[in-house]
Amino acid sequence: MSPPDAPDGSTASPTPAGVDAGIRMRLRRLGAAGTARRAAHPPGPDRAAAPLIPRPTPARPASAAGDGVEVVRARYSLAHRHGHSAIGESLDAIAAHGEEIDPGRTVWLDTETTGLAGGTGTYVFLVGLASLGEGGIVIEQFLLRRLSAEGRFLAMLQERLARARRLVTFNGQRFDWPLLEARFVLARLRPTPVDAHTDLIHSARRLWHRVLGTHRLSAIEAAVLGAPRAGDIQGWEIPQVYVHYLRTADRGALEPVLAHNRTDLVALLGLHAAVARVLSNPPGPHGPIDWEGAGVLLGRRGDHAQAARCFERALDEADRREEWIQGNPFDGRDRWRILRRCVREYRLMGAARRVRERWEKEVSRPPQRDRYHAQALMEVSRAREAALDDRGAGVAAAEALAIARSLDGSRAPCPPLFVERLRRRVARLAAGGRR
Amino acid sequence: MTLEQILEALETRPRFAPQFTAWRAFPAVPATFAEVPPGLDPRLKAGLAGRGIGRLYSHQAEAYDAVTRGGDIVVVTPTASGKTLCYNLPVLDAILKHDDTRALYLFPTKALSSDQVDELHGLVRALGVDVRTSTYDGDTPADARRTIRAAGHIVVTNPDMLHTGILPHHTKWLRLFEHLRYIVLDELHHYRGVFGSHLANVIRRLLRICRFYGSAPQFICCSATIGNPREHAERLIGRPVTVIDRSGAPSGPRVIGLYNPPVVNQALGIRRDAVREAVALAAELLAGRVQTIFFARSRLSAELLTTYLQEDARRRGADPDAITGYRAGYLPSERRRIEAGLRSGAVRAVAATNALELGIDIGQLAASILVGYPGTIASTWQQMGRAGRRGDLSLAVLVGTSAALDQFIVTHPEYLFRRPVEEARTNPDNLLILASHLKCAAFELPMRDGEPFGPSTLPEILAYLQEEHVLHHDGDAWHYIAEAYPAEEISLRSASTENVVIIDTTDPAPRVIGEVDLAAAPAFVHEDAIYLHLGQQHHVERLDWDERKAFVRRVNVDYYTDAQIAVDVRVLEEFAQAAGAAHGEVVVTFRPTIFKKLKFATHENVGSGTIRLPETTLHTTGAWWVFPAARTPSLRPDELQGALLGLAHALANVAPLYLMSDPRDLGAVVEIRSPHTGEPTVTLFERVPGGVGQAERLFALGGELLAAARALVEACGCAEGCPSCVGPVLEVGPQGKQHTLHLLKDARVPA
Repeated sequence: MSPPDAPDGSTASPTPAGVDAGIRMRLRRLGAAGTARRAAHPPGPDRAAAPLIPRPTPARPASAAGDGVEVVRARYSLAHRHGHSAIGESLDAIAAHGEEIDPGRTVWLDTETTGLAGGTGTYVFLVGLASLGEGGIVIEQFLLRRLSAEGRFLAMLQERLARARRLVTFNGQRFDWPLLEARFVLARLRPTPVDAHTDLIHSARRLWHRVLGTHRLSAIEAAVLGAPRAGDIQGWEIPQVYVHYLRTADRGALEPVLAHNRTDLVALLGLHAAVARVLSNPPGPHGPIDWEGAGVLLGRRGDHAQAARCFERALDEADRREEWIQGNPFDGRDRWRILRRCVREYRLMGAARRVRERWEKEVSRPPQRDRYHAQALMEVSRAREAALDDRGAGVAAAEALAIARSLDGSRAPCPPLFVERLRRRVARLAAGGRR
Repeated sequence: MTLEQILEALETRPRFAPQFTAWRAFPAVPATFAEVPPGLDPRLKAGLAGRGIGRLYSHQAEAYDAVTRGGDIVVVTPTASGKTLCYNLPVLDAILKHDDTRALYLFPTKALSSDQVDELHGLVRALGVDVRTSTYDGDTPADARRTIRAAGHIVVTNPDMLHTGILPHHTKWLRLFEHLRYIVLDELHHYRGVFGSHLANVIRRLLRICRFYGSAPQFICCSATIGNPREHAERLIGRPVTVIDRSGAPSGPRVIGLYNPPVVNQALGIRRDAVREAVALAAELLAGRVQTIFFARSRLSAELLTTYLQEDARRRGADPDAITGYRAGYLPSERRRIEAGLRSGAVRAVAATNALELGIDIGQLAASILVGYPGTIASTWQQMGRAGRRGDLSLAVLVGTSAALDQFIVTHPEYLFRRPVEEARTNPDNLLILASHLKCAAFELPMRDGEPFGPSTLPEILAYLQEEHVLHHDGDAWHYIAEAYPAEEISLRSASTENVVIIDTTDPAPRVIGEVDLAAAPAFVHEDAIYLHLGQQHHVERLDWDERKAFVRRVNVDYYTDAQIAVDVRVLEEFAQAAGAAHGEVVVTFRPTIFKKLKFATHENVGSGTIRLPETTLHTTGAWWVFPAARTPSLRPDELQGALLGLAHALANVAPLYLMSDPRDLGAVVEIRSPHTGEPTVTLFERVPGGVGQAERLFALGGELLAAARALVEACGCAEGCPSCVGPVLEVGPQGKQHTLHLLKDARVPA
């Protein structure tokens, strides 16, 4: 293959165009802007492409932006409803869960940014803070009207946050807060450290991800809080709207963004309450709940009795329902994991009898004759031996070994080490002796 | 047999002796020592003594003094001269004296950094002090990254990681940037062309971030021998440097030979296979247990060499396992084992690619055999430098292949022995590269009005980026407002960001087997092309131009395909002209037309087809030479065309001698009547969009380049033209070679 330099001297070259040394022309020809301008997320299927983005107009200074920082205040009364609950009820639920809501010290925080990529080139242009006050909640929105005013913007925010001792966010530990920290460093400021940062995304994932197939705030809002969003601006559109505003000083274009941020904050409060309700009163009634997740959260808080109850409920539900959600079948491994978690809570409660009952109950189910059934029988054998029922222990172990042997060579055999331990146990119990 | 006896045999035996086109002996050079600097931290002094270092080589002491005085340095030394101490000494000294001190070490590749880090670790352990050195690259686990960011004294990384992972997150590296005192740039000669042009901009960004955090680091650069170390270093870091280029390290006596394999086909200019010749030459060396390194130009020849050498060992009854290959694609653990084997002597011979060229510590061997000219004089010396134990005799031989450049070098030994090594070229102000890094810089920190970052055209580029909604001017600064993370789409190793992926669909599970540059795609992976990959033929079934994917299937056919691409060049701006040559900005248009199917061996045309692909354009820089038609009245138009083609071929072949570049970096166009000059014209253009300064250099060479082209053509032993000089007869016509020479004579080339 020859290099592509075959001559074409015979055909007339295009007429030499006027020499164009304009740097912009050259940059355009070289494609120097790259793909940076492309929207990071494709438009959703149910929306027309970027309806909120007007045609680009020539940039002009955002002279109307004043000193560059605007604070928008809004007040929501206790009676304001968001889905199933009024704000007052949500606050009560949070308080009833034993969470101190120090009026001046707890702040629910949500930000809007110029991108999702992170790094030092992502600006936080809107910080919404919700707190108790004026007979309801007050939402203060710090809006960066000019990028050159970022220093002042952050200083005001720093002053406002100096009183806060506890932050509540959704995904703030990984996204909003590190981004703000980077902004503070860039502005040579240090944010006041907060004592506690509750990021509700972790609880939300445990409680709802498996039942909803997602733990996005908007999905939980619709399915759990009963407040589906209508006509709200899509998250992916927000950076483009802000850039449009910067280039045109069209302040009106930002209203949907401000409204979105306020709704996010009200939803955050609702989510906080929903989590508190589940944890303070696990039996319910609640909407759809992943009981295993609830058990994990309660167990971590040291509430072992409630945690065990949640795991029991997860096991009951699994018996009734073969699947958690579409395409996510509940299999023996899931059941085994929940059982172990459940028994662990009983042990932490010091309830040996409960442990034994739990395992006995498990093996009394219609026999599955899989490796997990063999493992459960092993646990029964242990529990019976601990209860000085050596004969019963021997029977369970022998049955387990029979299952294990029948599975030998199958697609899901018992682990060799387990079979070996089981064999020794059967032999020992058959000899009628303890070690 | 000792090496002395083997040398005598090679020099006299009729099988080999006549094929040596040069045989030079160089005397030993004794070491120049200097005292350990009195100001050095006593712990460091003791640590050195503990490792048996009571004195320094003069260049090491010079480097320490220059760094201590302040200012930036570049140390230029040959292989195995103890260069790492030139930076480790001042850096460790500063850390021992002030625990806050931070240093950033940059190596071009991971493989090159690992040895230097091992050596540094060894030195730190010997000192018994708490100096934390950490490697931060793509392999660093996430949980270790936090610790490195907060606490590492010396952070070792590569330019790519600095570009995408560190600078865009500089707020997390507060501790490093606040206290950064030294930036070590090792293997500086690697940073040339596109890579160097990018690095210079990464350095501009790095220094901006340092200014923000109030640090003012010094640079300690190290380079293998290049023609322009000062200019190169100054271009990369944008500041004046002190050059330290007198090595105090000793070297033993050495013999260097150039070897041209015997001709087997005079008409086609084909010589005996260089790989086989190298194996034959080395038989005595290996039988005499002389530890030898072979450098091959491709992975395939490295593998072939290994196979042949092992066969040879078996015949001799020697251990074939003491002979090994070494190339990219070997596992890191394998490589480490081979390197250790070379140091210990367990490995007697290694057939390597340039993966083993520099920086990697394998100790010094007794003989080095280069199978094929490595492409530059600089790498030739580096590879030859692998042989040479202190005080002992060593041998280095370059075995020429049939390729044009190889033939030129082995038949013109003075080029290797007399010419200075090539100059490394970079163009940090390449518009495309500069604009890319301006985006990154603004992402990292808003760009203040009037802030220096390269050339004076900055405001226009910034305004362009504002038009494109990437930047936004407010107050006195340009702010980044695009959503994409800019560093991610900018590769430091190439100017263009787009490639066509080649997918083999022969097996049920499709497999990606390679990539080609978008610009080269029409020539190599058009539909029905036969694409060669690792010696295997693939038929291109489908080329999805929009998706940038070529779907191929393995085949076994007796023909290859040759794409005809019409190339047009248009001059946009002439930067300078003198003596019938000029350089400037050009736009090159590639219009794929047809492809031919040609039989192997006979090159007989057995079919053709149309290529239906869009025209592509390349904006770049070029240099052109004008040959007024009035001076060659005797040539008919078709003869003139052949002469110009032959000259273009010869120029493209000799240009790499001066440019430290790969022949593929340049393209050539000939015109019987150029619309720009109105005369017969030969243009060489850079294939890198925007160019990296090669064209300007070609222009500056002017007549010297033409003289070299003439020397190449005149010295070629072929009758009517061959790929080694003016190109195949089929292209230039039966008298193409004579006509090309005629053209060069008439142009009054300065001798």
